[in-house]
Amino acid sequence: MVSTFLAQLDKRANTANIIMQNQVVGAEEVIEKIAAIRRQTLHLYAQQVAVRYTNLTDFVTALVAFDGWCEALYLCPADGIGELDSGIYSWPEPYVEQETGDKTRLFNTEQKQAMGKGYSLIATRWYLASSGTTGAPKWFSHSFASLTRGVKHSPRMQSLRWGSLYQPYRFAGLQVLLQALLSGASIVEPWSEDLLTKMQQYALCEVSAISATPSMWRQLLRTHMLNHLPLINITLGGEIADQALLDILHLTFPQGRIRHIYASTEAGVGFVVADNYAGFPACWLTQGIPGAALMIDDNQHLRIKSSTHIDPTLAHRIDVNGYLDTQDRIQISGDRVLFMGRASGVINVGGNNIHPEKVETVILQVPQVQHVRVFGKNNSVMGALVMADVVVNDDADWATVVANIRQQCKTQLQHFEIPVKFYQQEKIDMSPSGKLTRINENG
Amino acid sequence: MNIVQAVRSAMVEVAQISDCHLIEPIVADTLLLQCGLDSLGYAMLVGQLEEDLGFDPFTELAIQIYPSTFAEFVAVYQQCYEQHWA
Repeated sequence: MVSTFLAQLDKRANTANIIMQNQVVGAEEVIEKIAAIRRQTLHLYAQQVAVRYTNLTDFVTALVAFDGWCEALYLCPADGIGELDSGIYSWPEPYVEQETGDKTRLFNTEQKQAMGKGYSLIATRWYLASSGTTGAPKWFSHSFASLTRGVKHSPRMQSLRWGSLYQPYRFAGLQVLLQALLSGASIVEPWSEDLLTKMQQYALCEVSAISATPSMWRQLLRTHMLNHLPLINITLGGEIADQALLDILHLTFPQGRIRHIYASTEAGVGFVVADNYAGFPACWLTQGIPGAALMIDDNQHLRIKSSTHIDPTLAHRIDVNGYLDTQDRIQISGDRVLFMGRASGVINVGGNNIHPEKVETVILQVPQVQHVRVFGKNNSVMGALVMADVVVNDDADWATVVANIRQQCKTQLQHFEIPVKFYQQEKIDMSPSGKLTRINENG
Repeated sequence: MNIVQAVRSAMVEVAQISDCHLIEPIVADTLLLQCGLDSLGYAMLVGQLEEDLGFDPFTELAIQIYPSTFAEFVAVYQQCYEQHWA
């Protein structure tokens, strides 16, 4: 039996809402459209579809219509993500014939007519791109069951109005969306990109639940407008939640329920910590958590064994006992387990994962650069910032090289991937095996 | 140490690096969110000041209210500076 978005939403259709500018769309209205959409999109049955985000209502409607209907859904921003394989349809569909060479297929009447009757529900694969990627995104597949495993249902959850600061086509944003709608709550789509205006809109809509990264929460705190919101649900995710931030949020919202979520695009939902302390209780390593077992391995990495779907490309990181190496370094400190950063050298800047090797490749393209090492430096605002040690030719002018590096980076990297500081070095240490010796405060 | 000047200098430097345009003039009640630095620029400013001044108040002080305006931001650094050199 396939559990679909439609079936789950139908259970809460009388209360779930999407609140947009001058418009409230009930889940019942969304559901009423589904049959018609499927009738009009017979050609998409059992196909792969890239669902592009245009606005929250249309996005949700498409996801509800196509989950159980299509073989695979790729969640994309309005302009798509990179170049999708041929054979993947695009939704919303283009209105005009595409030029030769475009890899996105258009349906044709013959194809529609060739479809037989009797459409059974399909266990749709949901594909989400990992964060911070450009050009060639890395897609991770999920099932609807794995995406919704962490959804909480209660009268309290149903009464919430969610404000999401994440993009709904990213893992964290989708989690907020699913939590809101499947618990019968409301979700507000702000109609401004400006943070201060957005906060005014949230206050107007009486948003009572916000999910954001620790970096975003620090930014929200700087607006001094948080206490205009009747917040009772405060969720942090995507980065390490430090004790200082948890303390200030608790102080600001003593009646609020503060939860920090450990999750990753790769592994699906992890777990939730709600005791206002950083890290998680050490006893969870022995007792496990609902639906998953945890352990610390010899490399001090957190491993998780979950009953839900894990992307097949991660098979090499699963041990013989079924535990996935999360690549997150942890440390036991008294009765807590604290997160220490990523083992892979990935730098987390405000929830965006940056691979040093990618940045180094770009910098090495600059003439006069001999050697480079990119690393993360702890930062109290964004968790970490990207830095670079650079060795240049003896006759090079350092200021000119740095200017050239910045220019090169701007053309190939997103702004948070570009090193904010360059340090001139005479040499960069290598390990005996010839690899860069990584120095990464942030992990 | 003139903290106000140190903060202003760091803002100019960060704005140049990050291709941000600072608004003019930046006065005491200028909101940091509207000064021209984006969220990454603000993080860079705190990082730059840590290099320049040798401390980061957001790590060292148990700040209960995050600074919203330029004056509040400077006050946090002034307080931390005085604790260092008291």
